[in-house]
Order: sequence, then C-alpha cells, then structure tokens
Amino acid sequence: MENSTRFDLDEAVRAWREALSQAPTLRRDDLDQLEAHLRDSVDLLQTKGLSTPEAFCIAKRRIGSDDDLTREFAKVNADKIWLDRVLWMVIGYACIGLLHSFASVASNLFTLAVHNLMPSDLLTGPASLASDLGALIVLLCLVWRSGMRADGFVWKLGNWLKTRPITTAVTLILLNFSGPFANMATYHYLSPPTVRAAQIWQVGLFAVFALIPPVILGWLLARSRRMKAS
Amino acid sequence: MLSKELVAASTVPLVLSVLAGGEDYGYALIQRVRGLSGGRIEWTEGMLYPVLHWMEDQHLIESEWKVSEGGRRRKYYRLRREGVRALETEKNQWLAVHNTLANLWKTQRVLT
Repeated sequence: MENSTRFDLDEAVRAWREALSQAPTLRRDDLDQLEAHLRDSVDLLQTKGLSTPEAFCIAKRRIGSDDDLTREFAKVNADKIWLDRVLWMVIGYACIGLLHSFASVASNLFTLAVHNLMPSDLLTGPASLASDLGALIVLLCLVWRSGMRADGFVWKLGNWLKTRPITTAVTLILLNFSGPFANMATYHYLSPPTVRAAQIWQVGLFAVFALIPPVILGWLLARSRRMKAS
Repeated sequence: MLSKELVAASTVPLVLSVLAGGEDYGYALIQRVRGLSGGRIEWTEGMLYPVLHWMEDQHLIESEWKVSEGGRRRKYYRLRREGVRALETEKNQWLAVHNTLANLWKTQRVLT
C-alpha cells in the first residue's frame, strides 16, 4: 500500500492517453471514451481491495494494448478521420484568406494615410509593402498565440464552426467579400484611373476565389454532419 | 472461455440484447455481459468501442454524452428502430443454431 501514496493516478492516465493519442486513428472523442472506461475500471478494481497502481495496471491490460486499439479503431474511423482533416485544412485556408483580407485593408488604409501626408511615390510603395506584411504577421501571431494550445481559441472556434455548416459558409462568404470591397474603396483613392480599372477587375476575381473555400467548407460540413447523424 | 471467432460473432447480438433493456455506457455493458455469462465471455475491453462505432454507423444504435453523478463523462448508447429489427433477426438466427444443436445433442444422448 505504501506505493499507492507515491503513485499519481492522474499522471499515469495522462501518460497512457498521451501515448494513445499519437495514433491518428483515434479521435479526441474516442480517447475521452476510453479514458472514462479506464477510470471506471480502476475504481471498480480498487473497491475489490487492489492498490491504485495494481488497479491501474490491470485496467490498462484489460482495455487492450495501444497497438490493438489503434488497429481496431483504424477500421471504423478511416473515413471520418480523412474528412475531419480536410475540414480543418479548409477552415484554416478560409481563415487565412480572411485574415489576409483584413491585413490588406489595414495596410491600404495605412498607405492611404502616408500618401495623404507625404504624396511621394518613393514612400508609398515601401509603406504599402511594409504595412501589408506587418499587418499579416501581427494577425498570424495573434492566432498563433491563442490558437496553438489544445482547447485554445482556434480549437474552440474550429469546433464551433464545424457544427454550423450553413452559418459558417455564409459568414465566410460575406467576410471574404468585405475584404476585396474595402480594398476597392481604398484603391479608388490611391491609384491612377487606368491602374484602378485593372485593380478593380483583380479584386473582382479575388472575390470569386473567395467563394470557393466557403462553398467547399459548407459541403464538407453538411457531409460530416450527415455522417455523424448516421 | 469462448473462441475468438465466436466472441467476434456474438458481440453485436449481445450489445443489441443488453441495450434492449435500456440505454447504457460501454463499461457497464461489458460488466453486464461478463456477469451474465458467468465470466465465460471476456472481451478485450477496448475492442468493444470500435464495434459500437460501427453499429452507430449502421444506424443500429445512437449515442449521447452524459455526465454521471461523480462528474465523469460517459457516452450512453441506446437502440434505434433498425437495431430493434436487427435484434429480432439475430434472435431468430441464434435460436435456430441453438435449437438445432440442442436437438442433435438430445438424440445423441439417447443413443449413447
């Protein structure tokens, strides 16, 4: 029994879960379920008089080896895992597109301000480039800081978006459009008329491209929801 | 102990039959089967979950996360209409095998 005081069950369960989570075939939901099972099993064995380390050891053996679990889950999860990954990629792509829109609007406004203060072509170009890159880097850093933790902002947002396919697609379309149109407004002040015409066409094309990820996303989300419902 | 093949073949009807008595979660389901079989049906416990997933994909059962009194989250499973139908089919098939074997063994016992 003296062992049980030094044995940290939560730590042991965490390490066990960590090892299992290396396998891409087990989803978070599966891990939650297996962990609840392991803890139930440990509880029951302890009520039968086993020490915590003994109970943990037996419960772990009864639930099955990591290899066995990984292999069996792979058989049933393959489609869902593939869909889940594509979904995250598209969400990521759409979000980066959106961030870039915001960044370029911020950059255009900055360039416009510089241009109005000191109307020199020598200054406007570098100011535009620097502020474009700067805004994008700042936004990416914000996402990185808050998003790279499990249960962080990006994770929560992604999971929230995944449950609302139509809202997500419509919101992304509107947001992705708002960027190019805001850009168009700033170009109106910045560019000479001939360049402006070309830029407006460019922005129009960008807006059409902006439609693609939300449409794919909406379709995939609807598909994954059907899969979940089935 | 049952052979591996028989364990694999009987998992779905066993799960369907336990859930016919009301919703339940994985661990309790295993305990139930172990108890009723007098310890002769032993699953590698983790292997039940992929089967439950498969049954969910086949529309036989549905699941829902619930929090127990002790604060532990557990996924509860219950039968769907297709599951009830599948259970009827399974029951007929297993009873057919059981009755045939029982009849054979009865006549053999008389003969010996």
